[in-house]
Amino acid sequence: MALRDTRPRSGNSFYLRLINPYDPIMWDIDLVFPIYEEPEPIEPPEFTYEDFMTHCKEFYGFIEEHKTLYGLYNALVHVARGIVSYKQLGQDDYMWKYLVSMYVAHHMEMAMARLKNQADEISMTPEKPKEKKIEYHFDKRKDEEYFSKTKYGFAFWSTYEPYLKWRLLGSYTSRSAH
Amino acid sequence: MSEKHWEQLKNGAPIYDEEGNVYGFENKLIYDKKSGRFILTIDAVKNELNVNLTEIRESHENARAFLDELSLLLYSYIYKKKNPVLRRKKEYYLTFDLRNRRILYECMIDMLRYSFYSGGNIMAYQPGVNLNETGEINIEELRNERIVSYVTDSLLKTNFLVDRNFVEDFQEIEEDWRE
Repeated sequence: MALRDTRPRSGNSFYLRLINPYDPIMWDIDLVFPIYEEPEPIEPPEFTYEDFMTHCKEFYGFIEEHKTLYGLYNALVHVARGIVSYKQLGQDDYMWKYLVSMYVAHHMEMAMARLKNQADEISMTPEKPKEKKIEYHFDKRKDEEYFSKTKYGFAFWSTYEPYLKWRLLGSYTSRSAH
Repeated sequence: MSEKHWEQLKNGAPIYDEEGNVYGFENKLIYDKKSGRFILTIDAVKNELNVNLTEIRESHENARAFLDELSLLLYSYIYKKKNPVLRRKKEYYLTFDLRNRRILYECMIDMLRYSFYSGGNIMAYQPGVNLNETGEINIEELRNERIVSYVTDSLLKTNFLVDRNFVEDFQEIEEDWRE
């Protein structure tokens, strides 16, 4: 913090101090901040392929190395690590891994539906398969609707929401409470 | 990309072996450079189904033309399910993956079996008009789904050959591999 240096350097300022020595503008101020010890950051555990397979066997064969969705899977795990709070869940490893799996699976299913593209929107071919239409609804995001588009998202949100209710208090509900 | 670009595929193999036959399928398949398709040989039909196509079709050329048509039907069925921009990549995948080559072979044999049992392949070229009834028969669904037999369809579906996108990760090759 930069303070104004009021020490007399010229004849005028020396004279001002002399005639008005107790004016606060002449004070020298030293600010001393207390130094707090930073708490150790709470790091969530590693999230592995086996953890994901424990909860979502359906994606076997799609997300391994040298498969098309390998990159997408890794990116989603990275995102989910930031979204699902390990601290908020009371540092419960099993619950955290379950919720990360559900979040990743929700977005994997959405991405696979886009790749599948039954209605063939991303195509220059004019002819479309008959009676194969997908309807999309774009709306202001509401978490409950957003996550209820897939089974995984529903499982994620219905489990994670009770924990989030307590996020402002900095505490969490135990699993036995509900 | 290295000279052996097919090695990026898990079951990659060159088109031809050292003797100039189709790799792994000598006397069973031939590769048509012009259309980029594998075609059954007359010997393979005889060995698999005990059917002499040359006799049935009355000449060697007719039999070859029939097998070429069969190959075209199968390939077009596979390509139809794929996004058009992925067609070339798909052709590469079908050509250089040894596992796909085996599936194509089995499918063509099965389509032949199908055609002997119930006229299968003819369905693809039916106009859908019954002149005796002068009415319209809706065979659009049949044309879409039943160009190939039920068994062939299962073979293709369980081997990811009619998916909209690729499950295996590989790069498209710039150079012309048909030469």
